[in-house]
Amino acid sequence: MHRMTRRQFLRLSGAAAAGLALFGAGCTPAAGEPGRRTPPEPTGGQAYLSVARGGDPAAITEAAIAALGGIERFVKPGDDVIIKPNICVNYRTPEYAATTNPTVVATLFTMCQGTGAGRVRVMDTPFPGITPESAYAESGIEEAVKAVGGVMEVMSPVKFVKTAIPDGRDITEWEVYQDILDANVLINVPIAKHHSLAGLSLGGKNLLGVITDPNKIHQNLGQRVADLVSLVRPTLTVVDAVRVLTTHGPTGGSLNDVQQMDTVIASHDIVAADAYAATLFGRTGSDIAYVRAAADMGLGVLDLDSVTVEEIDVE
Amino acid sequence: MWNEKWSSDQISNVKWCVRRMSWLFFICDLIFAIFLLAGCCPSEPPDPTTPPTAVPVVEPTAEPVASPLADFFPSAGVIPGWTLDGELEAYDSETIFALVNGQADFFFVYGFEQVAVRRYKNAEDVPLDVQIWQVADPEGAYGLYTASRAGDLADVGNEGDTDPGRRLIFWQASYVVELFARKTIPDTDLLGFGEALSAALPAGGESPALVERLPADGLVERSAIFFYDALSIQTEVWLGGENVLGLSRETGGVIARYELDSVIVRLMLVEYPDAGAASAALTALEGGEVSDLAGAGAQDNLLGAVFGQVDEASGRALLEAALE
Repeated sequence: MHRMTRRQFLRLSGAAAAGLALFGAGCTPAAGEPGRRTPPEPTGGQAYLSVARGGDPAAITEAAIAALGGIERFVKPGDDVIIKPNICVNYRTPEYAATTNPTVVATLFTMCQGTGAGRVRVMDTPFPGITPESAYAESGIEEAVKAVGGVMEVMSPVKFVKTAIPDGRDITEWEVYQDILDANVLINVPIAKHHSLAGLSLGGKNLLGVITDPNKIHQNLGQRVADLVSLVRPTLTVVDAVRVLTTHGPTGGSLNDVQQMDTVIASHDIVAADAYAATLFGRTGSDIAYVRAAADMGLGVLDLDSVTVEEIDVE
Repeated sequence: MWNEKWSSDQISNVKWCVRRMSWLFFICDLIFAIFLLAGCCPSEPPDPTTPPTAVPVVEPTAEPVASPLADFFPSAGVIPGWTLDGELEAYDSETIFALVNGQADFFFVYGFEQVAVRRYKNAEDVPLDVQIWQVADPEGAYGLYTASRAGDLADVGNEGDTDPGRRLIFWQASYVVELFARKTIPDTDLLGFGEALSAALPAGGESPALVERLPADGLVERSAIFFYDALSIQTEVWLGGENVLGLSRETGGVIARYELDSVIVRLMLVEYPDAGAASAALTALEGGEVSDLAGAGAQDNLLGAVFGQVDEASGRALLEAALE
């Protein structure tokens, strides 16, 4: 009689479970439905877009959010919150401005926790071939998040699900991270930096970290990023411009390319946030193809004169 | 032993359960295999908009890989105190995305062929990443180097650029070498690596003749960038994100900063295959909405343009000197 050892049993169980998991991942109907998450419009005296400047990244992050009406405008008790910074590589420390400022991310984490959110997670997918663990560590974000009691989550390959993009003009489906679509709140936290192909890497471009095959998005990048924005719809976009990579992006490599701007930009409107961030580089939102395309799809406001912009200097 | 404490009936029951479960798992896997074979989850159809350079990502392997560039890397101990850390990584035009992702086009426009990466570490465990980039020809290497300059002049290879103790980049023949230390290391170590790499690489390579056409008066030292595509110069001049100048590998261009009356302006020269192409580019440039364009002209197959807040006479004089 064949006798199954415990190890064999576990191995067989694991294989079966993996098979079932793959089965499910491959055939589950599209889960992402545009409109499931709607960025909350400002009410009363809340700013449409806020810009805070000052030498303390935590203080300007808090000030920028406060001007929008506070984090409670975006995060409710019990919410499932995902904070999505840019952690693209594992070979640049924060001062090189290739990845989002750790203090900005940690401050947002603390603010979300303070609302009584059910769960707050921080995650990103680095460049293909780079392990998230190594990138999380080198970026300084893991350490900063842990210091305020949080944990980083590695995005599981089986959770990228082929999802319809009904409003897409170039791409109509893509594999998108399920949890990003399912979360009540998505806080998009790009770093503002030069990008040799896109011109600038800002909020829209940062969403390439929630999909598979980002290289394919790089064809017809402008429209494809805008199509992705139409699906993902971050609740809040917070652009880190504390340190800005002015050239040789998206990875840089010389501190001479980094400019200290001590600025944080925030809005529920990803297009407006990106349009304002572009001005830090002497550009406009319409200069950047994906920002222009997203505005053309009605996903946000490109004309900053038409919205309330509150600028705050934090001493 | 646990089975010594159980009755034979209990053991029989457990074995029965295990047998049933193993059959269950076998059936599950069988279904899964049939499912895969039947193509229930077809792979994504080819994207007709994808150009030839766009290829699926190939995950880098931890296994040692062969690379024609491998012999150029210094062995452990060549620079005292430094040892090799990990295996050599090699990337070609199909796998480069795993190294630089969206930055790949920055290298493609200069005729990228392959890159190899090795990591070293010193006694303090500070990593030093060394990348050797091979492009199609020395002009491409020169261009890639000039588009990457950010620091001080370093006397390594044909020319080098450095943030002392942290970063060194130089070009030589058809190669561009970049060294990056995660923390500041002795500059003598960084330069030692550079010199060892330079000694191992093929010698030679001239900067493009077009660069010599830049007028010397007012030229900001080491500001010239040789380019084939607007993406290499987008932080110098913004051409609207469109290829208004008809740039390609068949054209060569150079842009440099000039200080005129305490104002920094940019002079751009582009060499076309023929005068007609240069004339067409001039028409497109003047008809476009390129900000900061102070003046432009064409002479034979050469297009010239000046960008910046410069008085008309100074701008024209610079342009004429370049197009002579």
